[in-house]
Amino acid sequence: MIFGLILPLAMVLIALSRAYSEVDDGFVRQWARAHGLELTPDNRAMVDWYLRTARVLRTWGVLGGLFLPPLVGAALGGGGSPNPVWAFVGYLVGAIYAELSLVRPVAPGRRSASLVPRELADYLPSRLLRAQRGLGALAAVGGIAALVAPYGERSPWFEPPDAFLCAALVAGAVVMGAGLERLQRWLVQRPQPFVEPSLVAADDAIRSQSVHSVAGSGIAVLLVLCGVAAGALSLSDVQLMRWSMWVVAASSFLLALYACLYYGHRAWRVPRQAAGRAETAPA
Amino acid sequence: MILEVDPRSAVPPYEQLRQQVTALVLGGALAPGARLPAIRQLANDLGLAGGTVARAYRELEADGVVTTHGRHGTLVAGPPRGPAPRPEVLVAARRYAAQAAGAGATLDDALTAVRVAFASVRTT
Repeated sequence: MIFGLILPLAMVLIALSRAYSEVDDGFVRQWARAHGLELTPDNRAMVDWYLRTARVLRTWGVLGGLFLPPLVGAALGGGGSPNPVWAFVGYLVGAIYAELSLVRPVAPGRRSASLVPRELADYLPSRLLRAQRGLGALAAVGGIAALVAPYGERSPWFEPPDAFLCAALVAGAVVMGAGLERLQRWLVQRPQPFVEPSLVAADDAIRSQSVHSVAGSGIAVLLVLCGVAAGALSLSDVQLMRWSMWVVAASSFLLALYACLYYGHRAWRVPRQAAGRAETAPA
Repeated sequence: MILEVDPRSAVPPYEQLRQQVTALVLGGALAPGARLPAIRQLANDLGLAGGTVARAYRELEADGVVTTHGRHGTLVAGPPRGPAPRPEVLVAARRYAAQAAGAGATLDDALTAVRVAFASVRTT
């Protein structure tokens, strides 16, 4: 009992102390270099603030996602254990909140804007966009398959997957699959009132990091949903699925962790096209 | 390349946008085929309503300065279809605009000064 309390508490304290520590100068320089950003006295404070705030909010998001659902369950008289899907959802919420917290001040009076178009494809590789769409569809199909698959009585204590949970899984997959891209487009289109090139470049790097964090955690959530659907299918009467779906489910959880950590922190250089450059007009 | 909108100006914001984009095209800074930002992006960045930017784009399209290609966005087509200033006038205007901006004048101040100067030239 004591061990069960002390270990999570120690994990929380370590995670929070790490999140609230000063951002290392070497890390900031490395982050800027990886994003193709030249640090200047004008943009340094904004980059420092974002990196620290994003780390703090993502950490709170993960901790909240891990510990709040079991606590709420216990308070309501039920039970429950930490579920990885809520940790990834918490990370996603933290990443969005960090981006929204970054104030981009609009000067009173005369307003300026760059004539360079901002497109989601400039901030996120197209294969991640395709992965989001594909995994959303896959999780929804998996949820429907789990809903209609045959589950025979194998033993008195065997319980087939709950139909309500399967339906919730399908709904969650559809919402995440369709909502992630809309959310990312919205983040890219948020006001960018800077005209100073160093601030525009810093804003691009930060926006790209935020969009990647959303993509990484969103893909992780979708992979967990795929894993849950595969786990449910492994209980079905279809012999082929019993072992194969267990492997798929276990792989999905591992891939989810990898996607969140890798793509969520991945550096991406926003290709800044020169304004006024001619493009090939669509036929 | 920067667009500016002065909300205190007597010129409506959509007209300010139209004039600036036309000037950039005439000056060669925006080449035919260049893509302009989406209406929502420009409206967000400038703190304007989407309808204001949409109207500016519509007017530019009516002038033949831009063309709209659905989801491919808005592309620069070329100089306005109407009579355009002669090149030597554009060069003189650019020189004057640089001096006026250097002296801290706004676009409205500079245009007023041009009108005054024109009036005095015609009366002499």
